[in-house]
Order: sequence, then C-alpha cells, then structure tokens
Amino acid sequence: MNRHVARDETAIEERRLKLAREGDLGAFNDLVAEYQSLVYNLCLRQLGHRQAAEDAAQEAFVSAWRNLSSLRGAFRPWLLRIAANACTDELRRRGRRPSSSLDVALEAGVPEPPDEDPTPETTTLQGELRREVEAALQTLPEEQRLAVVLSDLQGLDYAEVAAVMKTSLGTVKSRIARGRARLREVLRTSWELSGAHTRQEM
Amino acid sequence: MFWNRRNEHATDEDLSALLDGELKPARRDAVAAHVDGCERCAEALEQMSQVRIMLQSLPQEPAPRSFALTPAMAGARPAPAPAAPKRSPLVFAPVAALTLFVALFAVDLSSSGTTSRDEMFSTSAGGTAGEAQVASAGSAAEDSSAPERANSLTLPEGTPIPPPATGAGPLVPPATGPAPEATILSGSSMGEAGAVKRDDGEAGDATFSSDGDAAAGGEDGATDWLLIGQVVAAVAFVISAAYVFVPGIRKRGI
Repeated sequence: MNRHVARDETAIEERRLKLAREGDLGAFNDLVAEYQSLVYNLCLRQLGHRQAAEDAAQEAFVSAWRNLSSLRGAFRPWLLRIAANACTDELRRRGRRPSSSLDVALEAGVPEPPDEDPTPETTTLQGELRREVEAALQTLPEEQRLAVVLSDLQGLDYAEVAAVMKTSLGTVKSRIARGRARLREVLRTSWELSGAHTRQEM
Repeated sequence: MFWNRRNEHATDEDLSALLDGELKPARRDAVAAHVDGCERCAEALEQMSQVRIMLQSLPQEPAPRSFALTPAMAGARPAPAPAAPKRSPLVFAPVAALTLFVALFAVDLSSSGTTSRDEMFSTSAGGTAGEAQVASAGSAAEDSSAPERANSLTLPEGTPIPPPATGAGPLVPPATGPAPEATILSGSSMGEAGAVKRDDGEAGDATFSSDGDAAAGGEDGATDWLLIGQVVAAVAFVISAAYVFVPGIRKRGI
C-alpha cells in the first residue's frame, strides 16, 4: 500500500479532513474513496467473509463520520482502528468464530472476485494454496490475526500496528510472531497431508 | 550475551522481528550470528519467512462497491463541532480544585497567622485578648513543656472549621501571593506549630481543656485534616489540570 504518501497528498488529505470536520460530506466521501479498499480488505481478512466484510466496512465509515471530532493525530491508523472495532462488533453479532466462514461463503456460490487473472508484474497466491492460507488465517485468535494482517497484508510497520491496536511495540512483536508461528504449524500440517505440491506452486 | 552460547535457540519472536527488520542492531546481529551456526533455527527462520511471503502474496480484493455515505446515512447525526465545547465541562474540575485549595489555605492561614505574626514580631502589642492568649500558647508550643501546653485553647473535637476570624482578616491577603508549591510548604511548616492553631478566631467559644496532652493531640488532628485537605486539593488540581490541558493524557484514557 501507499506507505510513503507524498507531501501534496498529505496536504490534500488534511484539507479533506478539515472540510469533513466542518460537516462537508462530499469531502468525507473523497476520503472514503481513498481508503475503502484498505478498509474493506482489512475487514475481509479479519472476518473471512465477503458480505460480513462489506457490512463492517460500511459501518466503519459511518462510525468514522460520526466520530470525526474525536480524531487526534493521523487519520489512517485511527480509521483502521475503527474498522477493526467494526469487525469485532460484526464477529460478536454473528456470535461465532469466523473459522472456515470463507469456505462456507465459497461453497454457497459466492463468486471469486475478479482478480483471478494475475497481473504480470505482481505475483499473488492463487488457487488451492491461497484458500489454505486464507483458511489458516481464520484459525488465529482475533488479535493475532489483526496484527498479522496489518503487518503482512497491509504493510504497516510495528509502530503503525501499535498505533492502530493501541498497544506496545512489545505486544505487537509478540502477536505477530505467535500468529506467524501458528500459521506455520497449521500450514505445515496441511502441506504434509497434501504432499509437497504447494511449495512448487509458490 | 547469552546468544554466544550455541545451545540457546532463537525464539519465534526474534526470528519474526528479524524478518521485519524490527530488531535493534545489537540484537539483530546476535540473532543472525546464531542462526548462521544453528541448523534448527535456520530452518525455523526459513519456514517463518515462507509464511510471511505467502501472507504478503494474498491478493488485495477491490472494494465490491462504493462505501460513500449517503446523506441518509450521514444525516443521522451531523459531524459534531470540534473538541472545544466537549472539553468545557472538564475545565471546571481544576478550577474547583484550585478554589478548594485556596479556601483551605486561607482558613489555615487565618487561624495560624496570628501565631506566626507573634513569633515573627513578638514585640508588637496584641490587639485583643484572644491574640494575647495565643501568643502565650505559641511560646508554650515552642517550649513543648506539658504543663504550659495545658493552657492551649482548643476547639471541641468535631467542630467545623471556622470561617476566617475578623481579627485575622488583614493576614489573609498575603496568603494568595505564593505559588502553589510554596503554599504547600508553608502549610506544612505551619503544621509543626499546630498546637496553637485556630485559637484566636474562636477564643470566645473555646474551652480550656483539663488534659493538656489530649488538647494538643486534638489540635494536631484538626491541623492534620486541614493539611490533608490542602494536599488532596492540590493533587486534584494538578491531575485534573493535566487531564484537561495536556491532550495526550485524555486521548490515552479513552
């Protein structure tokens, strides 16, 4: 993602924020357009379910609009935190762990998103391996999953993850390490069951 | 450093942070050196790295639709005004605490002030009988001899803190001068002369105690409470002022 936002983009964002705080919905919706992919993907990885992710993402933006006056500091970590909280609410509302919910969604006939044909310059996981990793991610405890998603999928450094999760660097380090270690165990089991083909697929 | 002992393996946390470049240089070098010579840790690092690469390779999906807010969604509540009005109720907390502190200090000073003046200007003539009484009591406190302390004027226990006495009136204004830190110090130094506090204001109602030690004890107790009140008010002021005026504290508290 855009980890190094150009200075003029920052200025544009500041201006939009200022207008939005004054009640300008159009300026806020410009921010929504800028961040909706980031927020939706966070929700998708946290919830493992497209419809749930859509609901949580919308809820996050509504909540951000209503609580704009409580924003201190940078917008992005603040927004991601709101999105993470919306996911927690969504999980609670559904009253179950999200484990294998993506599988359920896929079995129910939800079409794969239109990113099936990989763009030449980017290598993304596809097919069986991708589903394995997605399913493994859903077996993590919520906080470990959030730390791993923010770090590995969204490219935040530890300090940024700590800002989103409102915790210490040490806790972030520990959550990411435990999350990855657990994924390693889950995936290793899965590989051993299905043979070594997955490594070749990489 | 324990990393020099080859039997200490790298933790998942070290390996994970090593991959992210989030270890401090000294730690990073030590972990890397260990991994170089340890097959088991090298394998663990390799697996951790593969997990990380796979996660990073998960595709980002495009947003399935626009999440722009419609006026109906936004209209439930317009964006509230900036933080200033929200803060205003809290501003009264430090003001109240400061007022309480000044009030307690004024009470303390007005009751003990005569003593102080007598100690400082012992040659000046006492204006009233009450002040004269206190002057003798003040010297009694300095001597701290029991028979003379029995002459101390005391208030019955549980007597509410009296308002500033008229005789002590002229002494009150200087009390507002010093900075809070200074007033706390002077408050405690007055506490040491506590045996004669608050006598002048209530001279008419005061009773002679037959038990000198008990009388002195009661006076110390009342002074202590006043002092404790001042300290509590001062602490409340500092905390509430910090909470209101230092943005970071309140933000973290939410």
